[in-house]
Amino acid sequence: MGRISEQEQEAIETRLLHNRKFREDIEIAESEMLDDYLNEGLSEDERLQFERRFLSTAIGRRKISFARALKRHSAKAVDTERAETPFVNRRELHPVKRFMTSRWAHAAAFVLLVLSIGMGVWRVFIFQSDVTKGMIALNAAYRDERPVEVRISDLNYAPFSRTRGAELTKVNRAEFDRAETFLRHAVAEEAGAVSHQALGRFYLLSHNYEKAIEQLEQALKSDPENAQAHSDMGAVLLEQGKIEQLSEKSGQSVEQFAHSLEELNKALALDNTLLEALFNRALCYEYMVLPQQAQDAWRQYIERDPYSYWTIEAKQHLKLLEEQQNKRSQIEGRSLQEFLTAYQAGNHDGAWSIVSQNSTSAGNLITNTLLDTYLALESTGEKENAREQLGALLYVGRLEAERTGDRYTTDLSNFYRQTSASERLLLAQAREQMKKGYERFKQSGFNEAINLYMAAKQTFVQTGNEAEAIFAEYRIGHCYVLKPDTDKSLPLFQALSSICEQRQYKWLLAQCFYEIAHIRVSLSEYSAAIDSSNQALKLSTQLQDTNGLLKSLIQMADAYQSLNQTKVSLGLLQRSLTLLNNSAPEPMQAWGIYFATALNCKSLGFYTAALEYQRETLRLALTIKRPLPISRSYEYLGLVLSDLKHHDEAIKNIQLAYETGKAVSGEPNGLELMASSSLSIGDVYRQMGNHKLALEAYRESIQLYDSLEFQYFNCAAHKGMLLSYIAEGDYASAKRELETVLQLFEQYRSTITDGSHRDSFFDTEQSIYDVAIDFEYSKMNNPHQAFMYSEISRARSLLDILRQGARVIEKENGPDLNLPAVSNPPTIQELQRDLPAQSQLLQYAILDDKLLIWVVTKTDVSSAVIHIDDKILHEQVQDYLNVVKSKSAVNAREVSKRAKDLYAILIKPAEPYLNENHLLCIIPDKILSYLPFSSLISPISGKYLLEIYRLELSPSSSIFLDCSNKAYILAKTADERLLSVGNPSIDRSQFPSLPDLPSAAREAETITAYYKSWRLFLRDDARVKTIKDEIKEADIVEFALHYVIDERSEMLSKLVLAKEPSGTTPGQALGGALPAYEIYKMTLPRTRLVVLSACQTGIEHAYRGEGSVGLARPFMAAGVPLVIASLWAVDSDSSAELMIEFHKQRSLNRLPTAEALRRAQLNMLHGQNELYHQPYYWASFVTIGGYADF
Amino acid sequence: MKKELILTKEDFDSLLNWLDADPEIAATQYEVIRRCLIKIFMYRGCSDPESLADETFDRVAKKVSAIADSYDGDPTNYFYGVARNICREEARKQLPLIEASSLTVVMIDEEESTFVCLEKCLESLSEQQRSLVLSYYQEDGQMRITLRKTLAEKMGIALNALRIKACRIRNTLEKCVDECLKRAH
Repeated sequence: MGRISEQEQEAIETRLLHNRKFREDIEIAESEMLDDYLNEGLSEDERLQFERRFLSTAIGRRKISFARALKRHSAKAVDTERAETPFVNRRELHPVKRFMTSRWAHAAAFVLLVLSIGMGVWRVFIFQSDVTKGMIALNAAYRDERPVEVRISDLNYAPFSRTRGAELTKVNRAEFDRAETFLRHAVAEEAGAVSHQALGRFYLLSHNYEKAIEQLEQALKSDPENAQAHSDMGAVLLEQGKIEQLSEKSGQSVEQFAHSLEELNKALALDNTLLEALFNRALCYEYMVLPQQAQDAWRQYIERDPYSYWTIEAKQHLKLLEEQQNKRSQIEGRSLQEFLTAYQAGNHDGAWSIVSQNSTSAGNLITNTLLDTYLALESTGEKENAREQLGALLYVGRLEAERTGDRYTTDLSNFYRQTSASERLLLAQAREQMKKGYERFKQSGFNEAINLYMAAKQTFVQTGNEAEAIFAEYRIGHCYVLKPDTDKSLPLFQALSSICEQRQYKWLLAQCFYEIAHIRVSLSEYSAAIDSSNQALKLSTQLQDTNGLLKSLIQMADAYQSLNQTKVSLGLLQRSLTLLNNSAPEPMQAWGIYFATALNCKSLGFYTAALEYQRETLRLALTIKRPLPISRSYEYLGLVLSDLKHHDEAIKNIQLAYETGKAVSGEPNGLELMASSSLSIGDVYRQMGNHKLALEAYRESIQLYDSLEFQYFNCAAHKGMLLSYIAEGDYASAKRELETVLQLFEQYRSTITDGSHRDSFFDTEQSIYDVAIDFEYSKMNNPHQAFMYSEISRARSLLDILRQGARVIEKENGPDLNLPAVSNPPTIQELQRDLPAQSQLLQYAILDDKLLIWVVTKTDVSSAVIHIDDKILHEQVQDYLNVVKSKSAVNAREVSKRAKDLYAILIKPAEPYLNENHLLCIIPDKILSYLPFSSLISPISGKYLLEIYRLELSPSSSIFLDCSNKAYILAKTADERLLSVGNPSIDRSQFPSLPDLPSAAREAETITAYYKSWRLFLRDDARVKTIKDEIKEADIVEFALHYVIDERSEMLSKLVLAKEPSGTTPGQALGGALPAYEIYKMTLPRTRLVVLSACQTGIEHAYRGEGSVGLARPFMAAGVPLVIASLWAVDSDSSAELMIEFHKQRSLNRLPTAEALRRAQLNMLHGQNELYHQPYYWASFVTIGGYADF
Repeated sequence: MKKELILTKEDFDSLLNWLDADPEIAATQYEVIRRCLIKIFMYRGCSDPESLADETFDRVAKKVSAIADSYDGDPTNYFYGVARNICREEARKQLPLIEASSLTVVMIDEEESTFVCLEKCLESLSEQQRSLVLSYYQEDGQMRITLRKTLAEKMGIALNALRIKACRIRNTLEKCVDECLKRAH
């Protein structure tokens, strides 16, 4: 056309080809253009241009001809209508100014004009795109004030307003609305990196972070190398983290800041001059509590952008950081003199504040200084001054006792008040020994330290100074802990804690709990460790002891991290970082916080954040000058560098860690540092593919740990060796290592006693079982052994509970299960022997690059392997779940196609070994736990799996057997008593938005017709206490109601029941809900079947290892051998139909449960209501448990 | 002049299969692409957009067996590439645009046939559709806008939804009229 560039024209044409909506808009615009032409609504120039385009082509002429004909017909219709309705004067209708309803239709008309008439004047309108217009409006909206602290790309400077939320006073609402319209329109009409990024910025400024992230993710998907989009993403995460920071426990903020830093670094890697990324990174460091890095980053920013308003802000940040640093040094320097001033002025609060901030592992520094000065003055005969010091010491004791109830300093000062000169001389010597011991301790000279502490203790005992004798004992124990020598340290602290409790030495008692927790971690008794840490934490909070508080928080974070509960761990670290920012703790505590934070960031894959934190630990460690933190910092810095693929640098750092340990190798702690470094060197060599060197390093590590009789990391070293042997092809050695590793894992299983801890620990460690399965199957050609490894890795906690029961315990984070001793699953021979004759097992194991399938029958064990990447399989299942869970019939073709694809992978290879007449029990693995197997379709016969087999699910083969045995015993009862609960009245104070479920009431009521003996509870009658009482007497239980999942823990998810009327105490505490943990407390020896006709009762979360956890699990734990549960949120009406039919089939036709459910589902599938033919309506429900004749 | 298509059935089937394995979906795709190509050629000022669209399909169909396996992406883009080339070739040989005034006379004969055909086609619509399309295209200028707004309100739908409805009916009618005219000739 000559008026727009070829590139622009192509952009429009491409859109025409790809965008249905755009095509339609063009059609509309085109027809309007034709009408305007016929109505003489075009200017002379426009008309000429139009005629040239349209009349020169046959199709154009036809269009005009058609438009003219339509105009004539319309006019004819008007005349007829007017004749029929003469009173309506159309000309009197209010004329409105010409407008287009859709802004885009307007634009489309212009597009057409540009294309067909070539009016260059519109070019500006079109190519000042919606994005440009939106951004202009956005800048105008926030011209006076910006609502977020971060710097957003393409946004001009405006001062930052601290006001949160939408109540911004200085936002131009009209421009804001315009920006929203343009930018949303841009995304709707021309989705691409630019439009998504722009809308992302809009959402960020509106504090709508979730949506901002969504848009920026889209932008980055289209344009992954877009530095500005990465910077904006970093900005959103930073702002989101700031909000999360306000809720201390979540731990999300640490993760979000770490993620933000990753994005900002990506932006800077693409464009190291990007000012917004430089600005945001400096800000991010501040929120990560890395003041040194923040200062450097602000300086870097100021250098890059010396003359702008942004720089003024940058300078303010820098100034503030410098001031904070000075403030911290001032706190650090709060000395004895300051205390004495407060004491003399009678400023008790001030004096106490100084005392409480001076508690260290060497005791309270104020107390120590006062005591040492007192002894020195006494020895030189300065009685008056000595008395003053003693008075101050007594004052400290009084403050301590009054404020915290701790009697240590009171006892100490009272003792010294009564000492003789000769005793004081001895005591001064003993205190000198304590100091020397502490110095040796700091240099990891634990044996020497212990000797010095013991000598001092002896003097204290001799002189009757019980308080300090106890303190010396604590120091000795602490050395044993760090040596490490758990045999000596554990009984020592157990005894010491009783003494401290009796004497009310609360600070020392807190230290005992802390030390016990440390020992428990060393013994891999994480649950017990967390309990002790919690006790220490509570006491430290009560004592206002910042160092103690931090120590406990770090310790708990460390334990949770070991249990792979990263979120909980980060929540604790978030608290620690906040404390660190506002106080001046011992450098060792600061080191601990950064170290633990680095570990968590590493495990989340935020390596650059981990690197920054680890660099900070090294900086602090070199200041502290103690071998342990120095060695550990080098070691873990090396590991992070290895993650970032800087292997050479990684090795160098870890070797420095090793050398640091070697320098103190005369001490066990030095050997431990060497052992740990060797292990890490092994890991790095293995990552590099150098298995020979890796094996050497692992061997050295194991040797060193063995010499210490300390197996803390032995398991990791054996694991490394196993992987290296497999990679090297040395299968004999690999097999040996495998046995060692699994033996160690079984030990962990027995020492981790809290259910949630064990689940999360084995969730991550499942990888080692997967290695074992793959090794036996692929390398040793032993599918039977592979099956056994698969079996010993799954649902073990549930098996323990089924066999021995479990106790519900109240923990800091809510209720948890205290698991019994570990039970062993049956061998494959035992399994086959005890397998009910009419059943067969189909067990899966998803490995990294393959899927293994076993079919176990009474007579055979067959297996098959499908080579498929686990990520691809995961994606396929996930895609299928997405379509199958959609109610829309539009997806039917897609559902069917995917169902066939999955059948081909999951069922077809096993088909030759399966018997269609037997019950087929599926033991799923990982993502397969969510899959409705019944809805898979055979590509050959076109039949659903449901049509071919009677199906059931079970968490493991062992559990199938246990449930089958239970069912066999219960089958002897002839008459069944039904408890039917439907549509309980909802407690609106607890669940304001849950809808009423009339069909659930109908379901519960109707099914009673199929049972001779029944109890029915509907609406107000379906109360918690009543149901808890009735359930014990029921053989069959039906719950048709709401189930509410609690995101925090599956223990807190609940069945919604009616509230107890006010005034009745029992059950009132639970309100109108029966939580899962209450069901775990039940024993239901009589109940044979529970039907959970509610939303997603079968699975809330699937752990690798333990498998699916949901409401079905507590009922199985309570002894119920069969549970019918749902895999997703179900439709109430169709569920009612399905369940009524199920009970009918079961009762009238006397069919076993699995078969009755199958018939009910088949009836729905082939029934008259076509809507219900979709798997969404019938495939959600599954029978879980064992084989049963009822 | 419209060129004779030299597509074999085999070529055509391969082409459809390339668009989608499902023949129904492929046919729809084919139709959509063709309509778009016609528009593109028309907007670019080519004198016989329909023939050129067919020419595009012809060329693609001849190549489809060679490229189908290796081509990675949306087939629509491939059609567009071929169409652009055709357009360039056309531009090189195209005569200057004919003055519109010399063409208006030619149209008059067709007018009545179109009117008659449209009448028939209007009859094939439902009462509701017919009423909507005739009401929608009544009047002109501001009055038309007002009437459309009133109509939308009466139907309880947004004005834009009304525009879309009317446009879709118009397209149906246009197609019907085209068929009718073909039969008449």
